[in-house]
Amino acid sequence: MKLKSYVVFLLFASLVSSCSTKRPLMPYEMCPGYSELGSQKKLIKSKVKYLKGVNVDIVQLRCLIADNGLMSVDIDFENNYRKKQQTEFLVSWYETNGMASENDPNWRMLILYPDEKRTIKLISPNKLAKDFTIQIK
Amino acid sequence: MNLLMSKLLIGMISILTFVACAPKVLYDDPKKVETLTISFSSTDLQIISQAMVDSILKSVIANDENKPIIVIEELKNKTSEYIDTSVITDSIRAKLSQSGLIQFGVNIDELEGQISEIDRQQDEYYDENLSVEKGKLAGADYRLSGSLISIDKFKKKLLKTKKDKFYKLSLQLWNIKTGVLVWADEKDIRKTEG
Repeated sequence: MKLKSYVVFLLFASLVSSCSTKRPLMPYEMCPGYSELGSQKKLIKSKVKYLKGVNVDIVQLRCLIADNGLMSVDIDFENNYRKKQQTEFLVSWYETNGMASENDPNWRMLILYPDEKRTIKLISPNKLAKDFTIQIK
Repeated sequence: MNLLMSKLLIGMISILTFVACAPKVLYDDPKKVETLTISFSSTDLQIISQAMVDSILKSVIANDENKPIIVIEELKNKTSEYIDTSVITDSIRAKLSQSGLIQFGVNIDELEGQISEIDRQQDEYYDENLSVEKGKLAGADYRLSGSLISIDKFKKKLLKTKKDKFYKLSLQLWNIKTGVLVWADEKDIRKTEG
């Protein structure tokens, strides 16, 4: 009797585990490289390069692949300083083989007021662009 | 001897002065942020064209698998400056073409050149099998139009003038068949001087 209920329990447990689906990935987990790095902090460290004298921080990256194959990226900038900051950032896109996807990207300008947090929305230049890096100066 | 020495000295001083005052030409990064004057600049062009490209690529027409054809109209320049607005539309077109999701049809300015080339190929000197036929131009699905406006303000102080300039680029994408507006967006730029 005991064995029977144990078998029933095992069957039920295996059924539940096979039926359970993985939770959908959050946008911050969908950025290229996140699955290997495992944390937002490490992701930002791998994607963002701060050039000299930058007083603006990137605090989160979120990514989403649209139906047309283009990648949308949200970049959360934060100014934790008491002065207005004018900064510039350059996003370089790369294909899966590591080749640059965009020929000559533009530096983009950003003005942030003290304690301001702002999200900049970007979109990949084409379907082949699957990864990116950000430089801030 | 003294006269010769003084002439030589004057000559050397003038050469040195000329060399020191000659303007130095240097190459610079065309993508860097340019803030030389308050007028419409290369940075403004890059900011507004990139913003519009990003917006169009997020719109519904970039999800159309049939790669819709867009024809670009001349942007209306409603600013107080002379700005060749074709530079803005050319930049937008180049970036959108690279996405591979949108195609562009011949616009009014380019039509004359296109027709002239088709006509030329009808000449007896061209191989009939290798020449393009008349009547094969693709009609566009959408029409991109818009305008650039500016609002200029200035305030005189004792010794200097404070200037404020506001630019707004508005673009609209119209379905040519139905006349329905399928996408519209605006990008603002504010600059101050003084």
